[in-house]
Amino acid sequence: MSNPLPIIIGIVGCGGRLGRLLVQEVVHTEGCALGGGTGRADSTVIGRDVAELAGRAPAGLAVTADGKAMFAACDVVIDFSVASVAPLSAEAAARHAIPLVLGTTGIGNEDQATVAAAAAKTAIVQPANTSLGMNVVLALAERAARALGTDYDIEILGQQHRHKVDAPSGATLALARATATGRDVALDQVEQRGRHGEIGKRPKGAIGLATVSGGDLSVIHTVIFAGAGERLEVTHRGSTRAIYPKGAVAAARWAIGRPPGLYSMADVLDLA
Amino acid sequence: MNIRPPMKIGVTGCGGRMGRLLICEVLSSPNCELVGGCDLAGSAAIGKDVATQAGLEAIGLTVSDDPETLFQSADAVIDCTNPAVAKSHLELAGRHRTILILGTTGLDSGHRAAVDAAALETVVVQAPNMSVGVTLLMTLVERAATVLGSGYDVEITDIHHRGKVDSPSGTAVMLGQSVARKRGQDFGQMARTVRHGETGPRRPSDIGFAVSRGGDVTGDHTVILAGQGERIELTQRTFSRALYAQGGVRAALWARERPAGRYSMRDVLGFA
Repeated sequence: MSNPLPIIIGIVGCGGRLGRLLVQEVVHTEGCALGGGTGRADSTVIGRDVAELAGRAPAGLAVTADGKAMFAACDVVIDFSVASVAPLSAEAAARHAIPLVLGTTGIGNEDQATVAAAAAKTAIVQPANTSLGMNVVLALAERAARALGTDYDIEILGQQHRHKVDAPSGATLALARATATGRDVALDQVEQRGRHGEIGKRPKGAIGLATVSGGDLSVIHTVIFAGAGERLEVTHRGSTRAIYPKGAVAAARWAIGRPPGLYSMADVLDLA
Repeated sequence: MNIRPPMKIGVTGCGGRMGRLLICEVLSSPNCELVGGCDLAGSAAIGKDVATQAGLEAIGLTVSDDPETLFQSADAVIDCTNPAVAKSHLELAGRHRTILILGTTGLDSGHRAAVDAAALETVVVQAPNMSVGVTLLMTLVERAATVLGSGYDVEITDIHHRGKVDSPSGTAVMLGQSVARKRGQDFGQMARTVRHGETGPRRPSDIGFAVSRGGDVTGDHTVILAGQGERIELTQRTFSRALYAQGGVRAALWARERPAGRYSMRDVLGFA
């Protein structure tokens, strides 16, 4: 047998919309095998077959609420579930010394500190967005911000589907951060969110974030650089969620054997 | 304290549409001092106040037909004339070691030697499109095409006012050419400027063009890179020709302490 052993991948929150797509992607991907899936203890998916739940042939693996058992059985774990779970996944990954791909958005500062501490012990890939196209857009946005300077007002517009429960989206924030990096400023010093009413004139150098929500699928992010007499727009349109699991599984494979640290998709895709 | 004196800037072809915009831009730029403007002998602008003919209040400088004096007194000259005149201005720039921002379009291979000769003595910035946005767009498009590779189809759209007589626009063609160059392809073979009727499926390496004309649109260009489940769109919208003048002044200020040589707007923006 010349085939190496497959990489065993576990999925946190495997009963969710993205969780099921992740399971499908793992099942599809040559060289990868499903190691298990977790769900909330009170969820109706507990006990069902992980692969069957995702519309695939049964894998003989039941969805469990016991994350510990799943982390012990896997080479790498992917978590795109909810923010409150992120620090638990990070700690579990560190304890079992396996890499984690953490795609959850909306993680608070305290929980992020826990993630960072875990990343000192194991490799954690934390992509704001796992699509190749979005990561190219992030790189272009940083580049454009650096070249154009503050004569061009930066506005980020995220258009997200109606099921998304937090705003701005992780990609909107990542784009804002990328442009702030391009300008060598801290985003929290210059960002403007939630404009309404008598807010006064736009401060020079501000980076605006706005969110539109609706529809069920398409996700559009645009960075606008509005100058005198012209404007530049860099847009990413995602028409299917399938682009995210593909990148997530690519990140999981990449992370195997990496030294401890917090990595981005730019590292995975070598876009630096 | 090391306060630099403002840069002395002259404008040739100052009675033309671009020239008048350049006059306004130099006068409104804090780090610049307008030292004069000239135009062709016999042109209507000769003898008028440089600022008045550009629609501003008089400043006591008259439009001259003597470029030699202008090149002697200026740190930099911004040239938006015609190919024949530009050639003599290149010679003057070299002789007086005056920075030359060459915005004149339609230069042919015969200008190459003149540019190279002047560039031995002084800074020559060749900038047929002085728009910061279009220059940046081109670099972003090249970067995206390179990173995304052949799995992403490239399509280019342009919208211009109803008076424009050529299609696709020169800038659209330039964008397509840079994509072809980055992909190592022959642009002539790949460009698809017409699709109508039973076209058959898209050839994988096509670079498609779609053109719209109407109203008073100054000029918008979008480059689409369409992949599986996602696409990137890079757009530049021009609202005012004044931005070309801004690009010219920006180039002049950038050129101030550069070593002699031949440069482009990409160098000015830091995209060598």
